[in-house]
Amino acid sequence: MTRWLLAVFVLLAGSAASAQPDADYLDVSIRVFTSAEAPPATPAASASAEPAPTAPVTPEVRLAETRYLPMFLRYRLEASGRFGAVRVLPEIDNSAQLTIEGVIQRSDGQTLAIDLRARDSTGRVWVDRRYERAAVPSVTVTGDAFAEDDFAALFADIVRELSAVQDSLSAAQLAEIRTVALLRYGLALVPASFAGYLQENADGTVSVLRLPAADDPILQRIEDIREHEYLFIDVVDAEYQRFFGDIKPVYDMWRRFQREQSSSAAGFAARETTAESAYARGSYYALRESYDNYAWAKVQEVYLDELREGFANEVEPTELELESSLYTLTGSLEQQYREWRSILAELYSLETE
Amino acid sequence: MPAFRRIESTPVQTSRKPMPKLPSALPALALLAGFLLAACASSPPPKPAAVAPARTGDLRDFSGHWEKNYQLSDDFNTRFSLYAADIRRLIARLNQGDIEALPTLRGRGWSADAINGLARFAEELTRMPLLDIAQNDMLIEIERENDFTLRCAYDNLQFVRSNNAFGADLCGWTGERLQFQMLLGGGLNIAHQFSLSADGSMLNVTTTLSTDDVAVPLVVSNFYQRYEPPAEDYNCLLTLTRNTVCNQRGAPR
Repeated sequence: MTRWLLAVFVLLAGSAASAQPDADYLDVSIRVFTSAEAPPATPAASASAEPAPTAPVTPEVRLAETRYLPMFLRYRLEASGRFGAVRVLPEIDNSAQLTIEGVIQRSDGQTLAIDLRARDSTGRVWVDRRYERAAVPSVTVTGDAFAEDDFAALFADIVRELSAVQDSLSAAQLAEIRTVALLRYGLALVPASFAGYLQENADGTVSVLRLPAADDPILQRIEDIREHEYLFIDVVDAEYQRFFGDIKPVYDMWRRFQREQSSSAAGFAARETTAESAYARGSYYALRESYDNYAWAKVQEVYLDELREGFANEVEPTELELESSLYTLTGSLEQQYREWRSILAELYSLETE
Repeated sequence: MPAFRRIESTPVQTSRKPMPKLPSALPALALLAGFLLAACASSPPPKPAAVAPARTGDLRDFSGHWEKNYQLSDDFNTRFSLYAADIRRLIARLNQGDIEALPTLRGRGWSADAINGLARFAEELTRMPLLDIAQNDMLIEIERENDFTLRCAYDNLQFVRSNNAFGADLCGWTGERLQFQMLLGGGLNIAHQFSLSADGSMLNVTTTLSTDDVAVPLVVSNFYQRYEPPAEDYNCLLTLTRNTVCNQRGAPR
């Protein structure tokens, strides 16, 4: 496994101004999903909880899904051409213009159900509902494997609804979303300087009370800092893209295998909880059943090993150079992200002291 | 759940090209003699295994693409005829009051259904026309057509064991031979033994199957030779319901 090492050279004092965002499109931050479906403790528990017998889902698969699914959503949003930069992040992004969070309610290869919530920086909720679809093997005209997914229709639903909400907003509302996003970021970094700009409304939304001057040095500094945060986000993004590319083939196979297994007459739970075979002892069918059960479990092991390997690079440190100082971030991506944020905050406070 | 209690080593085979067939079922029987079932498949899982001894000596390199040599391999019908003859002889000895034949049975039977069932299953299991083997110092993976990949992460150990809900298995090295042994539900025991000819050009796979319901294990020996696979123009996927399904690379699934 190759070592993951990335050095990013940053000039803080230089021209770090971001490109002018497209007036009609918002940037989207998708937080890594969570899973509501804890792996069953025992196959028997699984059998009693589910009407259709399915294989117990292991933590490795659930963990992989919490990244795979938001990454697939990200690619679909990008492909729609209706949104600005779309990023997948390990944590909530304070500066996000549109934040998407998802909870995987069900994922067994046959059915995918995700509780999805999307809200913009002003607190306006774009969607907040469960998306649920049955698997349909997908084929793309272009043969683009990244666009193919058995639940592509579910993601198409999400993209369509988000696009519709975006289309319904006026240019002024979109501009407000961008402004509030930046002010929120400043508020998190320098509460004293940004406290007076935003007001929280009774319905939970946020509105702008007043704006800092366009040439406010603190605001410009905050914009610079945010650009530096994006640098690490790009590092995270590259890692998630690698992860997605690595696990997509095996995850697709796992889901298909899971579907075949659960739709077969003798489901996994029934097999594992039934000590006695339905076939005459010693008969060909009894031997075949015994071997197929064992083979099924061995194939599962291989899939899980490959899914685990998808995370292998994550613990590698990231090295970022900032104004001739080299910072080494260690731990999981979530830990590295937090560490980088604290470095930026510390840097800002040192400059303003 | 069955459990392994001990494993006995078999002598290192030092065959020359062409690799001679194993003279009889004896090596496999000796191997299986090291296998003692603790209980049937419905019993609790086996206790964690004791630490396996460290592996010594250099490993033979099995890696490569192998295709079955049908000329050298057992013809299954012939093998089954010999097997049936073995059982008939055993029954005849018992009928003649030969009590020395009794221990062979160990409580096992010889019902025609069980014998035919084992034979049919053995024929399917040992077809394996192609093998694709990847190996390094830590691990060997033997990809088989229409069957799961045999995988042994031996690292520096002589053998490793594992178990899942449906059986227990052991794999590792006996001298220069690679062994895979599986104890599955219903008393089904499967042992694959892989050995290379001295010059590494031929691979022998000896498979021994037995069940609690059949007195005599069935042994099938197959030989493989190296081959260069053609360029991979197909995507293949092992499925439960349709075995291996392939399509042309780049074509929509």
